[in-house]
Amino acid sequence: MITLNHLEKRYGNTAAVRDLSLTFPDASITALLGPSGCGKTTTLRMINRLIEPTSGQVLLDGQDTGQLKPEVLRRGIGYVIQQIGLFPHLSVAQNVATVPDLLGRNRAQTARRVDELLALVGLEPAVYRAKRPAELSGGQAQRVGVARALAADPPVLLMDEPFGALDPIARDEVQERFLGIQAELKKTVVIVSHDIDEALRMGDYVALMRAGELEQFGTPDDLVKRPASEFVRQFLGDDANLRQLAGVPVREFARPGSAADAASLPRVEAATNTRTALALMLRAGSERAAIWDGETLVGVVGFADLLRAEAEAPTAAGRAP
Amino acid sequence: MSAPALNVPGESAPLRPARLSSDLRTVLVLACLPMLAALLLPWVLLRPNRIAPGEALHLPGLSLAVGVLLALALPLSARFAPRLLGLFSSLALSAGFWWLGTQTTAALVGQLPFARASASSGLWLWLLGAAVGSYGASLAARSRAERLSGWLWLLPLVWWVFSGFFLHWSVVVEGQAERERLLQEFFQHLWLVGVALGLALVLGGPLAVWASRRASVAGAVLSVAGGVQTIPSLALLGLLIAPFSALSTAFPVLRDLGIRGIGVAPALTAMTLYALLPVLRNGVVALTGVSAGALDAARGMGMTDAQRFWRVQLPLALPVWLTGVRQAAVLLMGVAAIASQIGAGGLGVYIFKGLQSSAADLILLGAIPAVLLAVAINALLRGLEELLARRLGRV
Repeated sequence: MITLNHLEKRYGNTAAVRDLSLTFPDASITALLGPSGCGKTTTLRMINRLIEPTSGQVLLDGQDTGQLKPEVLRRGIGYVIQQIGLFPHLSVAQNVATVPDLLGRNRAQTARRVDELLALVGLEPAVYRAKRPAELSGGQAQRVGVARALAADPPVLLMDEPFGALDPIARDEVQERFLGIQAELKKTVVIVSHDIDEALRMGDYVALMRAGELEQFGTPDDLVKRPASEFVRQFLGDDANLRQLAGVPVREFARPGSAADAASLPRVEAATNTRTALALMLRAGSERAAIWDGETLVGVVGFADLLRAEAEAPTAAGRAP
Repeated sequence: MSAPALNVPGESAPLRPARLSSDLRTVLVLACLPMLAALLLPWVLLRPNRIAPGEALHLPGLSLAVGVLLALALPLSARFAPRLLGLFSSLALSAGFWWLGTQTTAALVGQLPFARASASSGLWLWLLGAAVGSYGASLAARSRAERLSGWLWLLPLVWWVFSGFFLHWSVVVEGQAERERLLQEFFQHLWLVGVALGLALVLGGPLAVWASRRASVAGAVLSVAGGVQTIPSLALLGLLIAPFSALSTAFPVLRDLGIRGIGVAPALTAMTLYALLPVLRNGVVALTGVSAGALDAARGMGMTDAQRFWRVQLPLALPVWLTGVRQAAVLLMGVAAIASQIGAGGLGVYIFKGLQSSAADLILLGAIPAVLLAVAINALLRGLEELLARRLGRV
């Protein structure tokens, strides 16, 4: 668990981060969202002390990070950046093995771990192990970046606009892949983003910042349906509800349906996000769709169900943390 | 670098060799003209002794005819058979060397031992033209075989050098007489360059690292090194005589160590100063040019500053830095030749002795090894750079 206590960072007379107190819940993804210059990247970099706070504390599982040597602290935290930052003179395997090597882990063990992680991020070890970063596409490179961050199995992962340098298709794929990894590994992840879609889709929780201060902290649902201020509402925009739906798999809205009924409806995979499901329904010209998980019928969903879900229990449609 | 070739419209099969661009064909015509002119000039200057004026000798008729054919072969091959260019240019160069050996030998037949047969303008012009042709051939080469055929002339040349084929050439005659001293000066030259380069690296390396971290330091250090560069080498060497003299007079122990106003000490000082600019400049540029993302990631993953420098920054900076080292080495080869003027030894000894006594043979005796050495060092370091660039995946 990461706790920020009255964290502050001043540069001369300006405060980049002002009296920030926040707890990042365990085993979840928290998105630090906000406009440019709101202090989200500064906050992230204060967690692993790439930037030293002017005042305040960062507690990692109760321990004050200020007491540790910065290098020791950082080796226990995964770090993924927008420019990816792979080492061009090393192979993919050597890149991924960076932190375990720094920690002096056993070579054979590290090699196994590297293969394990490459497979986890969807890159076949035998093919990618010996490649150089220059031979990789942007999406592949960032996957290696994620594998590298996870190599020493840190409990915490810090990501600074990790998918910003990728084209939209690659970004979508890697985001999807990352959510799958997170479902398995359950790390405490802090991800900085200025992309509302990304934050609402990836985040189990969202911390919206503005001018160095926290505007609102909550689940995407909280921010969309119960914005704490006008700023939050305006920032998330008029299509906030649709954006939020992009983070929810359509199976959450499934209602029981008969096979006969389902046969006449357009088909949607259970894992598809709800916004895409809506788009598919629009394309098919149908108010309802059948949700399938492979060959198994999960249920049916219709536009009316979505409306009803919004009106009824507001948190029922949110993803379970 | 291979030149783009024009495809003549109407030619069907892509397997037919494409025609050379008109630029390349012009290069080969430009190679042919000096070669033809060379045939009209004398090839050997026969002197009864070192200092007497000599008799100009031309190539015999048969050789002239062969020469004309070889000279014309280049532009003709460029037009009709581009694949054979490498071969023809190698033949032309080899012919030049062949005539050097045979003509000097023939000239000395029946002469007294003091007689000297030196190469004259015809030979040099021919070699120049043939070299241009060889360069054109290398640009036009589209396959490994073609590229290699452009270097074929090396084989007979090496054979001839070692089998004493050129023994009657005046430069070689001088060299035989001076053999021990020549070898000594050759190694002295190499030693001067090596030590100066080493000192420049030892001083410039840490300085470049420091300068790469502070822009203010970088500015100051680079402008000083650049300022040194603008002083002509002979002037700098001369300027250093006075302080070194004064020092060795004031501290006799220095004199015992061999540090005097003239000689190796001021020469090495000047050479080190000259080498500093390329080493520093490339070092700073290389170190500050390393990907900021890689450095941030390295820091964020928990590398100490030292680890980050040695494991990430330095390896990535090496190729560009090495280019600077290579430039320094070639630069030093030239300055070392001048250092002989203040008693530091080296191949410059022969160059200047030849200049003073108007003995072209001595000049060449000094200059040819110096040039070959510089080319070899350059090629070696270039190869190293490319090896590194490949290992980095051409970043």
